Amino acid sequence: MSIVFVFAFRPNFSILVTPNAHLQKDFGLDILDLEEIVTTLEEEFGFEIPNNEANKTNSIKLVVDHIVSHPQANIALD
Amino acid sequence: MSALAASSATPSAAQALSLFRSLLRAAREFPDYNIREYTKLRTTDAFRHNATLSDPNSISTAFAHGKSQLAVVKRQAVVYSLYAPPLRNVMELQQTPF
Repeated sequence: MSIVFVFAFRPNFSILVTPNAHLQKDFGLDILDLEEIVTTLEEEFGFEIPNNEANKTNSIKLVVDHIVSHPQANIALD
Repeated sequence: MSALAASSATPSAAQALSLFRSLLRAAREFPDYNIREYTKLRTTDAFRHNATLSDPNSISTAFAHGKSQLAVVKRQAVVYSLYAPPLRNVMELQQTPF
């Protein structure tokens, strides 16, 4: 199972997405970008992410782990 | 006026972020594709435009406006859901591209 993130927040975006990539340092996302990502993930996977958890999740790996480990996440096993 | 201004504290960055998220969440409730996407974009544009505010009066004014708009979004989402059209927007169809 793999989760593909499409980052459309910045034009000419060509940084390689690796599991350890940092959302703010490597992708240059600001705090509003992160909020948009959190709400988009909530909409996509059908569960709410509390503020304190969203603040701690700052890398691709943590985002994926958080989604996969959540019991209410709506993950389709293709 | 000054007493009223002194009694209300300037909203913090955390409060602004919470309002931002609440607006995005409320926007998701619109059944209409165009209204939903417009509300999201409008919210993002407004918060980016006001991200550089430093004057306490400007911050309070912008925050109060955002709060009132959140109430409008919540009310209108309910109203729109009462009259949702039976046909879905073509942008929402889950069809394989030809």
